[in-house]
Amino acid sequence: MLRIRLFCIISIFLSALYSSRAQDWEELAVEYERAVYSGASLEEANAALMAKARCYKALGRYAEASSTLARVRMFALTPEERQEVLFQQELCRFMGGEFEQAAAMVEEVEPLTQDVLLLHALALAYCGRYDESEIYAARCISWNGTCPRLGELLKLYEGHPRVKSEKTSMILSFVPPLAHFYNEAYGEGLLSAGLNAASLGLIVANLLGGYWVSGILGGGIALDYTLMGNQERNAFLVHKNNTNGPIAFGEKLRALLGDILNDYD
Amino acid sequence: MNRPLIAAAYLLLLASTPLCAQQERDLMLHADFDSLTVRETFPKSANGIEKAAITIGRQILGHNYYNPPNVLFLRQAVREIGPVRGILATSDRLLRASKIGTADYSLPRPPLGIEEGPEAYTHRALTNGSTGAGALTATTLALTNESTGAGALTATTLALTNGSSRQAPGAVTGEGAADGIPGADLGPYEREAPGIPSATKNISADYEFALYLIDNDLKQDALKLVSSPCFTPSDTLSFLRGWANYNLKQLPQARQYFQSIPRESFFYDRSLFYSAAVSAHMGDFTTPVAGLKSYDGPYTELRDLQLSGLALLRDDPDAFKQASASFAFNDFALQEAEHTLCGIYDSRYVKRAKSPAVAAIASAIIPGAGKIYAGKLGEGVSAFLLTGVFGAITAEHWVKDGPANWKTIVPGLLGAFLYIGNIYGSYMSVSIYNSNLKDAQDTAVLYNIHIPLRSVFK
Repeated sequence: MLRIRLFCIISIFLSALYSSRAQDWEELAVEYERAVYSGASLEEANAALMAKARCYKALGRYAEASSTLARVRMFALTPEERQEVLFQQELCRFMGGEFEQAAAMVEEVEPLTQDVLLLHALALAYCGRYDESEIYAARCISWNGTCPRLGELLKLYEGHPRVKSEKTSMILSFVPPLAHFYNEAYGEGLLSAGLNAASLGLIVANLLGGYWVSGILGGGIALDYTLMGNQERNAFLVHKNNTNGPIAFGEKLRALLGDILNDYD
Repeated sequence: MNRPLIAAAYLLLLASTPLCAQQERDLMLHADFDSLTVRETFPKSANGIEKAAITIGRQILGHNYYNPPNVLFLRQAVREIGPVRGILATSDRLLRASKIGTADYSLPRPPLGIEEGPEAYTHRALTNGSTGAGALTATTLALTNESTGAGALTATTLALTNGSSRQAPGAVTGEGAADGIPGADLGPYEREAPGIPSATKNISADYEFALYLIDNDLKQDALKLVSSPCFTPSDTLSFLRGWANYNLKQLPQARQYFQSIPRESFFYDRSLFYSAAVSAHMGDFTTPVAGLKSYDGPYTELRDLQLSGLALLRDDPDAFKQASASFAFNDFALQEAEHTLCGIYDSRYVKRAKSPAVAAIASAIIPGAGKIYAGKLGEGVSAFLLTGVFGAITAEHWVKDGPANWKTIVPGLLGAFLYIGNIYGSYMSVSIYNSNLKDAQDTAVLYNIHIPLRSVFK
């Protein structure tokens, strides 16, 4: 019986591999799906789905790889296999740019290997959870003992980008150019301050000259445009900073970790 | 008991795939996430002054509501639709480029804006994603909502049967197989693999599997399977190739495969109707008519539905009346679509369309009123406020400083540009509204000659 099962499972992979000339990942994926379709047992279907996800991964179709892995019946797996599937899912989500979803899986994937630690560190860093990321990154580079470049890593984390608060930015934007300065857009801030000052000047000059309609309506409209524009602009700058900051930091982290891990290798 | 076996199989898999752990690490360390960053760049064609204007515009407006920015739009509009219309169109656009002015649209997140070039001010040149689409969405929905349930319905009341002379699925005829279509572009997967024996297998064995892949949203896999050169040409293969391409919205390929299926094939009926629907989606409203008129199978009411839809798309009311004369309105799968097509006929040929001249006159009397008449409330309010403010300022200076004073002339000129621009914009808005309404109706027609197929051939 045991031999029959072994033969059966191995034959799925062999037939898939050979029928698809082994190098065509798309055809290979179809053959693995055929194994699932043709009534494979739970174990066989799971193995085929994992294999199919690898094909998609090789093709760079990470979203499809992730959804294929989501079809794996976890209850039929050993704890080790379950960890492997979850790791692959986290990896696919990370590679597909779904950092939040990848980071959400950190709790589920046990850090049993250096690669898992690396993935956790990167996934958390790319969605701005630097403190947690730092722990995993430090553990990753200290996998084979204390790393002499740990200080370098900690220094990088010390300079991580700060998350900008939308609320703070909105409140500061009532007093140009404070919100721009908060969002580190100094040149734009000065320009915005100048435009708002000009609007105010228009109101004051008209009112002092006795032009009440021009002062209130014209100046009011001008101030509305410059002040509201200032607020909207800063809302965008917060979004821009909070999106680009973690990605820029993640790039630096990847470069450093890659360098350190290469040294090990 | 099976776990060691699974582990063994998985090890075999690992050994057979080049992606080992080291490569996964490389993958993580060298992934390219550049496209995920938010970038804000100036258009390449912008010169120094235009860049400065765009920078100031970003501070005043918060972001670009429209793309290209107004200053680049002016240059483009003057070049494409002439200086007078270009300046007026830009004036109209300035009135609309604000939070109130874009209230009718769902704006893309900054730095992206609504894509709108000067072609927005010409008839019938709008694409669905450009200005005006937002205002028409409701119309489109209103026209199509009634029919949305049709796809989920089964064709139990049709009581239509396939002719007994038709061949069973999987039967190989070899006639009309798409492999023989001269010059056929068979899609991205269709290529000869070196060293693979061609035409050695019959698709019949994989027919159910191919349908399973399509039904389970594994359409790319399905196309990969049926595009394999190892299958012998057959009607079944052509149909499956057409069906897979159709599901992947690769319409030219789908049409070629559907049209290649001969009349005696089991798949002829559905291929004919899907081919007609696909042709209509591709803008060909004439070619399918001959095929449908010569059809004498069991689906005659469906044929008449498609013929009447094609008549509406061709703007041929007589052909519509002729084709729709046989509508019985009692077929569960078709009645919604029949009612909708008749409704579209009524609104297109019986009721009167909105008049651009009325919009222009309304905006001349009350700035922005023409825009509201055209269904663009936000634009109307924005135009009223800005034009009104400039008018009030001009009036105040006229009274206090006289008409010849520069304090009167400057706001007066600016206000005049905006005022005339708004009249022009209102006129164009209604023209575009009418044009877009026709587009929306055409979309609804396409939808209604298409969706019932899902029920009929379920």
